[in-house]
Amino acid sequence: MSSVKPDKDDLPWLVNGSLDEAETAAVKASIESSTELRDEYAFLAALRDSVKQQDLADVPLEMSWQRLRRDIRRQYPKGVSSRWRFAAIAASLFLLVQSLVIWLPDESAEHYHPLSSSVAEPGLRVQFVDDAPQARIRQLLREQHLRIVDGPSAAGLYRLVSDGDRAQALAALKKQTDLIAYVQAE
Amino acid sequence: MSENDAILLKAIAAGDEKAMQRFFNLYANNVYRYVLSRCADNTLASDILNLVMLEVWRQADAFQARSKVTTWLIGIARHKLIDHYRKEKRHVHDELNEAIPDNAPVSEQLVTAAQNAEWVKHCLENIGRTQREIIHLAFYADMAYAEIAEIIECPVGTVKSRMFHARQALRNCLNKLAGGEAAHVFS
Repeated sequence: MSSVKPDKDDLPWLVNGSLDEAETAAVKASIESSTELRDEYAFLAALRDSVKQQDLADVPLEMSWQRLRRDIRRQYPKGVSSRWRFAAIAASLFLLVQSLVIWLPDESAEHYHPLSSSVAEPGLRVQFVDDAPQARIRQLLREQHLRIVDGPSAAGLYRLVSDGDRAQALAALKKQTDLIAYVQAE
Repeated sequence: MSENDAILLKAIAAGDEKAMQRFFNLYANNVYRYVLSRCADNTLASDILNLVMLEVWRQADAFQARSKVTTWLIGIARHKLIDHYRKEKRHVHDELNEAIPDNAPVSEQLVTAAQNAEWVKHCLENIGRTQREIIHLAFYADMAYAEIAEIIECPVGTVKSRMFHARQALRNCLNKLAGGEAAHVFS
């Protein structure tokens, strides 16, 4: 723009400070040589100050965020984007295939037994909501006889195993929607 | 786009609600106030803000870093508002109420009138929606003309022309108030 003669039309952007260095210099030079432009600049600067004083309401942040979060969870109930959901599914499939490979009958290994049975122990895959209080998580795990044995994964998933009734624990976790964003039995 | 914005948008694209909340807290007021400047309806402004931020949640990875985040958000808000008015079957095209040019030099009286925030508020409420929008973007949001052109999807020349008419409309209104109408309007 600096090659074009600046005029009144450029003044609002000099007033709001958004012109680049060359544009600013050109428009300022014009103002210095023109009473008309100087007066117009004074008018626009006063106008901008008054516009800035307009008492535009603030958005009620907390309430609006809660609404947005609710809508996000309704449309994305697991709290993860489709890309990460895909990644989580892919990771689960990988684990499943890996488990099958490990547990495929191998005649050469029939005399050997695993030292731990934890690999075969079915668990629960859980994602907690981001701001879930730790105390409530601990209480829930205690009440349902659950232990965290792995996680969090890249998608924020934890693996839990049950020392009690796994089906009952799963049902209890599903009810805790303010703490649990996602839960699935393995 | 700032580094912080880039990090937030990447996290949002990965489904990070905390990042979304931070982003929301940073930009909600910009969007809300822009919509309010066009519709003066708190409920509608809240609804449009919610739609804009849902779009961010869904489309964070599609954001083109060549724009500022605010420009992107206000552009979405503008489209959502237009969609809303279309659904309501309300008049949506821009007004053509071009103000009659006032070629008289700016008087001291006019500058004093422009310093009166209450008068300016009254005049903003009484000019066209398109004119109010350009004043908000240029003087409240302090946007460059190129950014405004991107938001309203018009050439830069149109932005400057709209600003010219908005200035004229405000000038006419303020001159009337300064000429004695204020006593009647604010009595």
